Amino acid sequence: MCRDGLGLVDLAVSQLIPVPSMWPDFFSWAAAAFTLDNDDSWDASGEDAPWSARLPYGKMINSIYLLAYALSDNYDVQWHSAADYLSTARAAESSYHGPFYLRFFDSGGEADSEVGRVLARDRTNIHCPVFDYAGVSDDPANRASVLVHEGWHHWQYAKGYEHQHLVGEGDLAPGAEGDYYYFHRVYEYDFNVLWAYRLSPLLFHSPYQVQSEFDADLAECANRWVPVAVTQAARYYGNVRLNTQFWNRPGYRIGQPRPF
Amino acid sequence: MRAYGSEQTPPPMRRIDWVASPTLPLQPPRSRRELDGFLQALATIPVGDVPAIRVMFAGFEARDAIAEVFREGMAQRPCGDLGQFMLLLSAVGELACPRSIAPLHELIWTADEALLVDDPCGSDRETSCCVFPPRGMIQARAAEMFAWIAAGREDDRLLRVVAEHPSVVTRLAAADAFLFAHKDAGAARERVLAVARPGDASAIGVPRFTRDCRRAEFDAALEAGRCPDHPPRPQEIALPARTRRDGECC
Repeated sequence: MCRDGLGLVDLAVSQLIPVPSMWPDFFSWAAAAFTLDNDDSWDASGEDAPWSARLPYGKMINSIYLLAYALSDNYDVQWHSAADYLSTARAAESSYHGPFYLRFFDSGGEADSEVGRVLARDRTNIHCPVFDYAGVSDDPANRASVLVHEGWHHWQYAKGYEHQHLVGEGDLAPGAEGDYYYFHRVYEYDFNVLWAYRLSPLLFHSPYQVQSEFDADLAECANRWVPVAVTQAARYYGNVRLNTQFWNRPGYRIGQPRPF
Repeated sequence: MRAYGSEQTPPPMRRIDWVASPTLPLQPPRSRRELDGFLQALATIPVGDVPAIRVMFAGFEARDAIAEVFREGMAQRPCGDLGQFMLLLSAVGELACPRSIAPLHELIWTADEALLVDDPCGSDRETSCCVFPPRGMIQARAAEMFAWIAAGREDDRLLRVVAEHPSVVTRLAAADAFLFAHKDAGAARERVLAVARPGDASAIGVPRFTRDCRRAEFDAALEAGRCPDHPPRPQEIALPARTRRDGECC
């Protein structure tokens, strides 16, 4: 099982969210949109205590809250809109991908996606490391970006493209897996069309690219009320991924190197 | 729990306001025991109040005593909760006590194995895809805070990080912090490129994506530094026609 416990950044987010009795709409929407009630894998992970950010289910709620509300949709700067990332991460069928469900699964790595399953619904498995207290991946901003990343694997499958990562090539850090980075300028993607792509000239996204762009947007384009611990976390996770998880390292950094 | 009718649109946003705006200024921690509470309050401050955070730190008295409390927290091994430790580093940087330079420098050169908490299941867990590579992340933030406090007075030690640190994440963070400390001057860029590893050079002096950047300027800088190695055309997989969703229209 996972190592339960409440990290500081999860604490900062969970304190913002009204409890289920005060805001049943959100909790029921989150469970439905992310299919947290699709199978029994979440039962022993805090489904009966969705307000508890010590447990995986409550930590998922924190990350879904960030996906749904944290971005300011600053059209001048932001890579993509909140709706783009939310539709990517959400399990329901959309322009981005077919339907899938999210399963809690005690395994290594942050998550994986199973696509093209025979006579079964596709799914994303969310693993313990994104919930393990004091682990390197246990952070609501990072967890939200993982949901975007895994949703993009379903996009790849829906559009008919390979979804395997690269290992040990190009600028990838030793031992790290990653993707190609498909260059695009901020203005080249309008809001709410992240699902679209073009092959000539190439305009495309890989999972780590979408994930890093979400990190950048959360770090720098969050709403004013978002806790500073969240935006800082998005920045350092994003910069690590930009530096280590691309075959051709993207030519930008997230944020300024100052304390606050 | 399916009371809400639509999976497509989340309900209108709500939040608990009293948490969103803790009363500033916070009381600075006077002991290690008070540090956790201070960081918890600091963590919840909205990003829109960052200017107030800076004013708060600038107004702290007994700064050496506060810095000593911060340094005690920074000496913890392993670091424990990563989010808390990273926020502590930000606090150390914002307080900008010169005596914090030495412990930050030591932290930069500390191995990941000493800093990170072990996976509770160790190698028993099946290795799977989509793994986060944390190596050098804490040291990178330490390098940024080192450069911030040093403000150009420790260039040799910072350039040594750029040249010799085993983590690319830390090397590139140190290079960016060096440039930031020197206002991104051309001469500073030449100095840092002179010591940087060849494989790192293309990622040094790149534009920063910030909330204040102008889109046209950022895009132009992005274009100018574009990696010459273009990725291959995405590889198609065989799919039944009925399952393919056409998205090629951009």
